[in-house]
Amino acid sequence: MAATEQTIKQINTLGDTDYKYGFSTELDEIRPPKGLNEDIIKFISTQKDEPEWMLDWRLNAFKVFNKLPKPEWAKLNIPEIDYQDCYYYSIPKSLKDKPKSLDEIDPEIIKTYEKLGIPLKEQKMLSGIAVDAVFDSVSVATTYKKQLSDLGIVFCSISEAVKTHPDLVKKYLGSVIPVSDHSFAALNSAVFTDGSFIYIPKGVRCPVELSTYFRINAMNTGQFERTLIIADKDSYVSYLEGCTAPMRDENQLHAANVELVALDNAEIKYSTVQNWYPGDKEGKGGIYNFVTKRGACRGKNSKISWTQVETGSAITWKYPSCILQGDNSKGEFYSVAITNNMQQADTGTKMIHIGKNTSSKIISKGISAGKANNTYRGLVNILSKAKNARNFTQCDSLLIGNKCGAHTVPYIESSNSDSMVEHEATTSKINEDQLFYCQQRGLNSEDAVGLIVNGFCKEVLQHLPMEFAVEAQKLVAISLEGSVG
Amino acid sequence: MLEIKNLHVSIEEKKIIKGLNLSINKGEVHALMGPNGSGKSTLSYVLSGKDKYEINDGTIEYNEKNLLELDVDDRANEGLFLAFQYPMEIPGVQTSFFLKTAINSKRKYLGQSEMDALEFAKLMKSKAEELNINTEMLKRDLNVNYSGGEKKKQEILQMSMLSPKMAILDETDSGLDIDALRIVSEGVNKLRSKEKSFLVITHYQRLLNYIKPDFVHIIADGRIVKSGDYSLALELEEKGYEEISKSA
Amino acid sequence: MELSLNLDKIQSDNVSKYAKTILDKQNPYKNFKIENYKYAQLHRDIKSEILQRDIDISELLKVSKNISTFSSNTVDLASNLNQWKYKNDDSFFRVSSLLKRDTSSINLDLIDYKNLFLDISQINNNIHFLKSSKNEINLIIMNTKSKDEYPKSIFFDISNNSNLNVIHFNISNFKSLLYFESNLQDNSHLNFVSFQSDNIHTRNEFYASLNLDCNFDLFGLNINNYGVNDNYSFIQHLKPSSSSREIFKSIVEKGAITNFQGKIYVDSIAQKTDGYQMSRSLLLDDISKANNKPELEIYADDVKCSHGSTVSKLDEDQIYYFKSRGIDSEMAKKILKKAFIAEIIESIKDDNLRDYSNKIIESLLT
Ligand SMILES: Nc1ncnc2c1ncn2[C@@H]1O[C@H](COP(=O)(O)OP(=O)(O)O)[C@@H](O)[C@H]1O
Ligand SMILES: [Mg+2]
Repeated sequence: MAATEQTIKQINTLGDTDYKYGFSTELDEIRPPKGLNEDIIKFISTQKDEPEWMLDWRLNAFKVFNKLPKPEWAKLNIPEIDYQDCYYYSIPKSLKDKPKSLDEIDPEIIKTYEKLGIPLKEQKMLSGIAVDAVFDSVSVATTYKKQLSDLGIVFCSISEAVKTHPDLVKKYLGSVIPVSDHSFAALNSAVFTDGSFIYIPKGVRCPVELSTYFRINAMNTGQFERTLIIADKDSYVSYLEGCTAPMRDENQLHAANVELVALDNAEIKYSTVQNWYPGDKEGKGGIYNFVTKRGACRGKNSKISWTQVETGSAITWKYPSCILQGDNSKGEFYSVAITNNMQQADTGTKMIHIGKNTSSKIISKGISAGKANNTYRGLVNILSKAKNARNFTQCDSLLIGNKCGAHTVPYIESSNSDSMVEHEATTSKINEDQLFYCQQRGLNSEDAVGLIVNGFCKEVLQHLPMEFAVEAQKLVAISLEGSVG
Repeated sequence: MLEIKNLHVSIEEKKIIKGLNLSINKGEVHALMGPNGSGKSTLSYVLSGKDKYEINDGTIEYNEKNLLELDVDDRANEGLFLAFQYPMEIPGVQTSFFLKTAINSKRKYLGQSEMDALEFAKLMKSKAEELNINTEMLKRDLNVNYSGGEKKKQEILQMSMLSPKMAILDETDSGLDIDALRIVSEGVNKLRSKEKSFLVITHYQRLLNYIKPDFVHIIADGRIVKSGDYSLALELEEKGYEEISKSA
Repeated sequence: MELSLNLDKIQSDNVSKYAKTILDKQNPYKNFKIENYKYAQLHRDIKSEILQRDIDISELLKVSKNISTFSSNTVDLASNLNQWKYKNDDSFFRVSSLLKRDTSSINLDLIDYKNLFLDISQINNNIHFLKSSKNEINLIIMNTKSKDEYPKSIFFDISNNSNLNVIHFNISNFKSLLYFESNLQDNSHLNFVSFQSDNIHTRNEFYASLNLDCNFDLFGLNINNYGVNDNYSFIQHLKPSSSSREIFKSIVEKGAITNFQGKIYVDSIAQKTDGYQMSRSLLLDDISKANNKPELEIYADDVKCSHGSTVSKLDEDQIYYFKSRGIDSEMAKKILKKAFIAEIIESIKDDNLRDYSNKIIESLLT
């Protein structure tokens, strides 16, 4: 008991300055006035030099947005969002005329990424990872472009893809997440700024990890990321994204839409390490992270695997999902969500089984400390034609202290008698015996808790690409630092 | 009793048995030996009638009947018994209740009246004692939390109570310690008669020290590659599968 | 016949403001979005005429005392809604039944008999049971041939150190909407078994509030239903060291829909809570449906809570094993179905009542 108490005390003493990505960068910015209206949408579209169909699509989404109420299902306390009191577009002046090579990028931005540990200069780059960096509303740089294009792989910003690959964008954008899905999805569709576009051609195994790094820098600015990944027949790609933001007292909105499409025999592996600024100990500031991520396994034998480590944001609202349309397709969801102090998370997945012999696996680990609330919410739906579908779900929650909450809300719906659905969930505290054992071997309680929590999350963390796994382990410990780890 | 001709079997489009011939007469004990994955269990499942196996070619005659036309339970009631390599666990169903249901199903099939409770209890007790099975165990759920050895003994208990004409034992010896092996073998030997036939599937020659077969067959890759008498098992023990198969 | 509830019939003169908001906002007949009624389909139109059978209770009456014609006083239970820890989803059933009906109170300690039998379809009122002794009592609640349009509420007040066993038979009903509320004081026990079969449209709400060192066991069995069979539970642990165990088993076929929604709530001071929840469904054809929503809402760290849920058909390999021993598939399926539900029947401690339940269930298993 004593050890836990000590840990809890440490949580409480956790300073506000421990968010190590909390610096901001001084830059001149181009920003239209605050507010959300057709003019702003037209401004964004013009800035991006978009074709008319794209603008029409955005304006239609805006109409839909105006009609939709905000989604209510989450167990979250979301303050009323004043959409008019927010900037929807921000771009550092130096990026206005898109730099043609890395050498032309404002050194301040390069420095920012270096501070974050994301080197943009190719010669310095981690081997085997191609990076697309998004700074506020624009894509800064995409590395490894040449090597990828030799294989026919398209890896660029979505803004660029609208111009260079309009057919693919037209065909797939909004095909997994309909504009009218819910109001955040509609909002994103109206004002999305940047994000990644990936196309892997037939039969190609992407040889490197593709990665995007998102950074919100400007004050009062929403970030509306839009990512579209298409894996054509028999292809494979592994994609990872990381996110940080400076510390600011006011809340910032991040409403992303990510769509994945896997055709016959294709596989997409999507990993996220989300570490947006969580706000301070009293719950002031922090990012509202309202993310819609959805993948469609359209082709037979296709596979989509989501892995997420969610440690940041004041509010996380996120359900990376799989629509298993193709026969024999597979969906996976591996998640670690850590909430501390005043953070709130409502996250989980949806697995919709439509095709025959489809299978899904859900492993979710929620850790709640401080005064935080952490909810797993998930849907497994087996439609009546999904013969032989299989699902296995395991969700475990860990509580540290008795001012926080851990909740599990699974929806399990089955209409096919040849299918099998299994769900298990547990809630417990840190194992005192393990803690004692570690301390007896000389670990201080902080390290011991970090170790045990990492063990608790291991099943998920091992699904991250190598380079990320180490980083994520540290992050798990840090987010609970003084708090847990 | 059993006549298998040119049997070809596949599962999920994978060919497993590829032209197997085997003939077993009344009163004979045949041993079938072969490396892992050679198709021994597959053969036993096909004989008992498990679905999902596709019979691509060949015939199986059993007691002058076309075995392949019979449903699983009819085969069993016609006296064909399979002692499983991996016996099924069935939670919620008491072992003794299961035994009783099985015995009465057979009697019904043969047009006999149900066995009364007392007679059944007596039979079960005596057979269980022969196999050194604690009757308390028979009150537990079928095979649930039984050890590997207990499960195998349980299969043999079922066999001795159902008194089949043709029994197939799929690796009944694996998982048994030496004492259990002796007891199980005695159980089998007691059933041996001019009327009953056995197909004993095993990896090891060890079991055949206790249950002396009249014939030994070696199976490799879905085919019988060599047949002989008991001495073939000894030869196999000495040389191993690879060499025997080569010389075949 | 449309199964909807006509609210106008409820007398509105005595409606408190609080009750009014519930009736307006939380009325599942008007507002489909209420989470607790997500799967309930209260508006379902049932067209088929279904054969309903008579349940022989003569044997049951031999081993129990019929208290259906008891004398009782009327109580007012409208006020203690605030003790519940749910937010925004107050029980519509509770409120509407309290508005519609009087509530009769029965003190079980005054009846000197071990097995008590009550047919609630014979009684128009809500019923409130009091139990404060350690006497062993098995209360059998039967709902026969109910066509009642309105929810009915049944309350259990179990005082410090006392205990009660309840067996609820809800068999062959056209429609039955019941709200069960159990208040367990310190160190008390409640064992509740609910059998539901042959029904066309049922919804049962089980609310339980647990104090120090209590123990609440809830077992549910749904078989052979035709329309919608809906069970909702909310179990709140308010004080330390209580345990709750919930096991629901359903066999779903012939176009039936079975729903289980249950929540375990653990207050921040309710350390050492042990909560367990399991719902299992056998789904036997593709025109039927099984929905499960087992929820945990936990605010204390030193607890052990878990839930599980499975939906599947009968195990083919087990059926094959039976057949390999000469048992035909029809018999094998029946035995496996019985095995699946055995745990529920076994939870009845009284031998006579367990035997009776066994017989009834046996006759209902098809
Ligand atoms: N359900 C199945 N689906 C696909 N292959 C199978 C299946 N069952 C068995 N096999 C394959 O069939 C071969 C023979 O298996 P089995 O008959 O169990 O061998 P043995 O009993 O001789 O060890 C093996 O290669 C095994 O992997
Ligand atoms: Mg085998």
